[in-house]
Amino acid sequence: MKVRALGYVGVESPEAKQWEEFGPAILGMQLVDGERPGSVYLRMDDRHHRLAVHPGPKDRLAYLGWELAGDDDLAEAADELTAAGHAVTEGTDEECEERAVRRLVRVTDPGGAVHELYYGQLSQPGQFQPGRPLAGFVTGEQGLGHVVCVVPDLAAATRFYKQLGFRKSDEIYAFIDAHFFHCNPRHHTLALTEIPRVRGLHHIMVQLRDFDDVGVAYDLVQARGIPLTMTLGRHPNDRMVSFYVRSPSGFEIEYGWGAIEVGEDWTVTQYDAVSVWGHKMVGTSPPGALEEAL
Amino acid sequence: MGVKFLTDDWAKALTEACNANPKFTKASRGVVATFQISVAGSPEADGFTMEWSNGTVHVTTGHRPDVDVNLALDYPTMVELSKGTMNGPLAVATGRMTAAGNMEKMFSLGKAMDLLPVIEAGIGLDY
Repeated sequence: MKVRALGYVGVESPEAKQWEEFGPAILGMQLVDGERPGSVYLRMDDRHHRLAVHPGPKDRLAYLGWELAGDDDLAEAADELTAAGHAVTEGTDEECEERAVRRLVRVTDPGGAVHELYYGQLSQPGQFQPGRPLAGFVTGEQGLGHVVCVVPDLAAATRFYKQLGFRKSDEIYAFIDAHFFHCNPRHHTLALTEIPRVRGLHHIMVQLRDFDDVGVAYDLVQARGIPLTMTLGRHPNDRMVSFYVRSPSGFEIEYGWGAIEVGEDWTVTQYDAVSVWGHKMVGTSPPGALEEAL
Repeated sequence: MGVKFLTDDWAKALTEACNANPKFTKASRGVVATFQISVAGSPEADGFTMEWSNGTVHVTTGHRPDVDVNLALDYPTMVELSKGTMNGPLAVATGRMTAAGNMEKMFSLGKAMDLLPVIEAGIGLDY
């Protein structure tokens, strides 16, 4: 089984409507029409959407959408997960239409997070119109970006993700410990940090093509009084220069530029700091769309 | 007969036990911070302060206004945290504890805070 990329993310939030402003005006994403009333769909490239924010009673990660190459790969993945003892369910026609994919299957990981494996997301070349002037996001074969998730059992989560085809990128041991994984040239599409009995989403990273677009967003966030949670800085492992802003839904958005890519010859290393410079934590409340794990 | 939880005797015993624990000292090295923990419904002190100073901590009952981090929770949650049947992030995620203030200092001391249930178990507490 080989997941190709993180294709889409779905979250639930009481503040879904705020994304109609935050997504386009701050992040530069495009607001697009979608199937579910009250939900906010945000486009970052040719794909129909990359982020869906659904109304809900609390901030929480609803699903992660993992892209596979085609229908044969998806069928094989479903068989492999079933054989490994996971309950795999078929997405309904309505769900496929809402996600704008040809087919999806759903599986729950050991901590209780929901994953959708799919193929054939609707691509509409030339349709992306950024919410504010920018050169675009680094997506394509690298998918929408990366997610950093909290898991209750790192070993169990690692086994699950390796089953999906992820490979370790590196590990950081600092005030928090985190393991990083890749499934395409992006240094990491996924990072996991363990907190007993807790699961959820810490942040979503989106990567800009032009560093100036990061700088413009940095100014916008501060000018509008939106909570900046980490100042501009560079991570030691993926070399990303980025800042972190609190989204309307509790989790953070890492807005970055300049990450390295990995290849087949990648060697795992460890780091003892989360940043080379900068990334001073300036948040005044805990981050994350977290909930009690299974 | 153990030490009564959230009393001056508890604060003194916890201070001594933490500072005698090499893992705790290592985990809290390099950080200077003051935490205020407010405990609603406590049968003893309704709050305590943890003053961290580069590898040592001083715990006192009561309240101080000039702190870096404010944590607020109820007594049953405080007992669960003390016993290790609950952890801080879970308490926040489930709405049983609020945290506000300097998150850099709070997260920097997270690994030291994680050791508190083991240290408190060694003291022998009455809740």
